Amino acid sequence: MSMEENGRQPAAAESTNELFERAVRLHSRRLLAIARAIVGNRASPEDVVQQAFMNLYQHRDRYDWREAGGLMRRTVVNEALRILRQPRMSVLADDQGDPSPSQSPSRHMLEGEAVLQVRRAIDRLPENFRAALVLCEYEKLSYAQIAETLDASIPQVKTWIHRGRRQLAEMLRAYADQT
Amino acid sequence: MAVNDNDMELLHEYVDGELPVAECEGLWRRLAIERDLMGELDRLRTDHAARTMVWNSLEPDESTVARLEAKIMRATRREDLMSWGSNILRIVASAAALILFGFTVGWMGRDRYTGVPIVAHPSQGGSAIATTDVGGSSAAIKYNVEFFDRNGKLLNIQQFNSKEEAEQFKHDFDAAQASPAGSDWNVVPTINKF
Repeated sequence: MSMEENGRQPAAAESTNELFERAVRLHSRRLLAIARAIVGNRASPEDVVQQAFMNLYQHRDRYDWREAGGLMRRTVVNEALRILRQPRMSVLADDQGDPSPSQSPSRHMLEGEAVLQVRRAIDRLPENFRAALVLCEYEKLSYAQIAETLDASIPQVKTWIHRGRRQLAEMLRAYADQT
Repeated sequence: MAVNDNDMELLHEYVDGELPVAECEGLWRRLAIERDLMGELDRLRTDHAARTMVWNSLEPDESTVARLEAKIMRATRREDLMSWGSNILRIVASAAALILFGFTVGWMGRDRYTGVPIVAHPSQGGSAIATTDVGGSSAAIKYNVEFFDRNGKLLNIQQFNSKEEAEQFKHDFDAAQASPAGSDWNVVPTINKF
């Protein structure tokens, strides 16, 4: 499901607070995933998203909450990058994600290992490469939308994405050669 | 044939759906005949699929989402309460400041007399007879005993809360002026409402 509204029109009398709460319920899942992709295990993605939402809430009367997906995404990404640029924080525990119940244990282990390796490689990318990649491949944003979210130019975004993919390929190739 | 950087950029944009249609058609023709180019595209797609698994694995479970939403709602309620409290505090502080200001102005002006300035008796050359409002009350009507010299110049004023007090004072003053000690005062006391 993309970040677009699901087509339901809000009631005419909804207050700002009600619209804000509805936007939180609609977008928090995907924004948590984005925050987790950007901060990795350097910070808590829940704290990132909560802080970003509270920053918006304090000035909630300024925004149109009927279509707040882009605003919330931009705020969460900026908050995640801001946290990464602070003095280095301790690394949180790593997790492998939820198991798929339909898979066999060995297949899950193999896929889990592969996913873990790719995640670790993503985590070693520069923060802007990571942010551009997740917005491109997970959020399926255009280069122009990514540029607006990251406050960068389109050529810069293309560079981040292309170089990020190349670095990932090299890291994973090195890992494959070792195993 | 090795794939150069420009071709790689074409492939990236193609995978991302950012390649214009006209350029896509040119790329398809090249992919049909250039095996290295096709090989690179396959690698890009395979890597893309692996990363898609990673992105999907980052999505939180229902309990995590519910926990986050509950925390946010609690935080917004707390924010609303603090905002309401600080507004109340601001109003109370402003009211208290206004009351204090009004009281201070009233206190500073409590002895100020709005009538004629106090001057010394010219024949005495000394300080004026007592001139304060003896009662300090907020009675609407007061009675002044005004002292004039023989030329009609106002010399002094004594204020009383009642006509009886003013008349008693004038009587006493007249008696004092009539005595040998007051023979050279030459003052005419008059009672007026203030």
